[in-house]
Amino acid sequence: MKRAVAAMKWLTRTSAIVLLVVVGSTILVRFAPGYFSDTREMDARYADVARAEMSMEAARSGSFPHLLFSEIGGWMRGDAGQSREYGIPVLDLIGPRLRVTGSLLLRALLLSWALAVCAALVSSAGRKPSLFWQAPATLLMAIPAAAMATICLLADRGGPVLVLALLLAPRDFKFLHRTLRKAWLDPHLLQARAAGIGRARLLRAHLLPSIAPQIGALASLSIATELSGLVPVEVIFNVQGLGQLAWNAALNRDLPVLLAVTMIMALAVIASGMAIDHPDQPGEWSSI
Amino acid sequence: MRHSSRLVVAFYMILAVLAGKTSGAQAASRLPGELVWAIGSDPKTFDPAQVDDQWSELVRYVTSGVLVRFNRLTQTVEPQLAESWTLSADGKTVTFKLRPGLRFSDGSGLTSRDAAWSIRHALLPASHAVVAEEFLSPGGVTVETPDLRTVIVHLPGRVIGIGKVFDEIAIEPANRPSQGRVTAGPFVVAEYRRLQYVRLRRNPYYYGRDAAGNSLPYASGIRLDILQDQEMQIRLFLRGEYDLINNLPPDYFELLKQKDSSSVRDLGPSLNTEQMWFNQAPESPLPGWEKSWFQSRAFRVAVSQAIHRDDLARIAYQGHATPAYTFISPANAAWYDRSVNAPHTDLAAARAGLADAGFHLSGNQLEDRENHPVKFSILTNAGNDARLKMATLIQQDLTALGMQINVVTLDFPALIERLMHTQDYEACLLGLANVDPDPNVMMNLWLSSSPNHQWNPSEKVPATPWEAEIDRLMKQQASSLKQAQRKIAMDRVQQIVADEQPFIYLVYPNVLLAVSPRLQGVQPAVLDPRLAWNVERLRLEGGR
Repeated sequence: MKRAVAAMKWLTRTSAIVLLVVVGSTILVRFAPGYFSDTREMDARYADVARAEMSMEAARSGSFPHLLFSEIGGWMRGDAGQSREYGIPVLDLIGPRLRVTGSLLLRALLLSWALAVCAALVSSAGRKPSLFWQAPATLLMAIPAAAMATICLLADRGGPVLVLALLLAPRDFKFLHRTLRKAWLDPHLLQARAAGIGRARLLRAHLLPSIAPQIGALASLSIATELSGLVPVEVIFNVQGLGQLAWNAALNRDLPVLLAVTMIMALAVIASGMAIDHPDQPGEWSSI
Repeated sequence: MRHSSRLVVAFYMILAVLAGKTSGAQAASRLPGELVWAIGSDPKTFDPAQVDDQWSELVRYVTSGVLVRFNRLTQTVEPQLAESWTLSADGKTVTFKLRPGLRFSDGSGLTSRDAAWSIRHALLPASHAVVAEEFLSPGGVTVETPDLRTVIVHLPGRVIGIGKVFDEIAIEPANRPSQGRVTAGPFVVAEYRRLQYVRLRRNPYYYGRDAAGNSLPYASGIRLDILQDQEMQIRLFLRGEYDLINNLPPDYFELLKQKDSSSVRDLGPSLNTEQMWFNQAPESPLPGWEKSWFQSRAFRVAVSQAIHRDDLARIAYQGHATPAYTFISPANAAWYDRSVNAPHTDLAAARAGLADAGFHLSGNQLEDRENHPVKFSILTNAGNDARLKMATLIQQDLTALGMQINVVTLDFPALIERLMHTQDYEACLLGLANVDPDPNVMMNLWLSSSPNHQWNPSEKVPATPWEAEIDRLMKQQASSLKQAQRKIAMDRVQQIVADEQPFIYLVYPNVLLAVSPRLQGVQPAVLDPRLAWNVERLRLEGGR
């Protein structure tokens, strides 16, 4: 019974978030300046075609509640509508890009974790926090993803995976470094080290299991952080993914596409948050 | 410590290795003998009858077989699938004689029936073909096919430049429209990956041959990568992954020139213009006094006289533009009027003109007769560096007259809404791309009743006598049978525009291109598609 209530609560909360995303995106795009305009209107050859398309759009979305209900109704029927910019079903547009973005995020996540975990293990093992590790991490955290991407492009070095990884790695490193240092100072680990048990064994048998919940929470935060850097990175590196699609959709006031992309991103954040919020998840340090 | 130092070194080595991997924007690998360049976005359609954007038009150009082709270099109409064509004396009947033995890319025969079907298909209202409007009364056009090689098109009325109109009608297999997959042109659409590339392959049955009798096209295919980012395009061009760039902004031109001066070409002024105009629409939500400034000829002429066009060309375009005083570019030799008397830079005359019109200086601020300070905003689109620089330079120039100018950049949808729908703007700086040297295509711009009559769109009756005169002259040139009469009418329109300054012409941007040294057969043209106009004769060094 408790599980059913919890599941209902989760479902209600998720639906409310998705609904808010849909309403928010629809308001932002529908009332953005230029929603009822088309660049071809300025070209005498294509102006009539563009005006006819704009009249159809005006008829479809003249009333905001009507537009909102038609978008939500479409989604309920499994129809995400047609892209205004490309004139094809939104799902056809999103499918291939979802794979590209998924692969990019996954590779960046793996790389950033590899870098952060390695660096945190080494730095946390020292007696004092090392500037050697802390300074570059702090510096990287201060550089926006778009600036990093531009530097890579100008230097003709690096790519989207590296930039996203460098966006995440310092944050993950700082968190892991603090957690590991705290864990190394736990009395039972100090005693074990004094008793001559090897670092590798302590790490495997005691330390990593004890910080597993924090690592899970960090993983879900990493996804949200990656998503925040996705749009500039994909646009600057011309990666044909969801971030670039969202950018183009915003520029072209392509409401159906923008709605679909924002909903996917919202669902990704909700799904990643489940790891933290899951009622069966052990609380902080409860596994010790 | 030694152990951790080793780890640190390993850590940075991993970073260095990763940093060495550059981002790959190239959509696919190049096939042997394939030409590759980039287009800005996906073509909206491959149906040649429904082309309504620049990139679909390019694909149609390189894939379609047409009865006649407008040669972009010589600017004359040449037979293509038709070995000859004639226009009756009254201009109402066009007769095409097809070449013998024509075939589509699938090997099937091409006859007059296919040509007739394609023309009728393009003219059907259901096709929504842009070209249909060029026939003026598409419903009244009839097509006859007395034999398998003759096509006769009867027009209800004379159409200016009718030969060029057939350049836009692709001949497709009758009743088998194929979205460019079966064509009579040099290439056919082979593969399309949305947002990645369009791949075209050689049509083995293309009729064309070179002087030595070799079959055309030379290239085995074309890959058009869909790439918006011009910086990435330059990088890929420098790496040898792209063979040409059809439109370079001036700063990128200079960048490429520094790296490889032999790869860039400046063809001189294009047919395009950059201009500024004031909102003269009576129904605009501007205060009455601003409307009266903008409707004042003296005010517009003074602004025009205060602008240093040489500086715009030199600074904003880094020397790759030509000062403009009329809407027809010197590149359009047949229609350009050298004798147009337009206001040139003359600050003293501008001040005097403003004083005569009741404007006066209060300190450094120009004020009108009712002491309203002359302040306004110039809108332009975001993302065009040259245009933004021009706006800033104009801001400086007009400060010398005591005017206070704000430069406002908006993204295109927002800008177009202000220009075309709400008319909530004071002045605008934009460009006009001209794809055809014949000024008849500018009809929509100059007719006062047109929604594209920017400074005062969709006038029910001409708001001023000079606009009425432009309407009359434009209609006169469109119906005239004699080229000389058309030229006289257009010269007069150019002079009226120069006198009244509804558009303040600023510069003609130069045609800037990049060509790989490996690309052979290049004969750049000012008209679109510039480097690709003779695509069937382009090939890579070492290709067949």
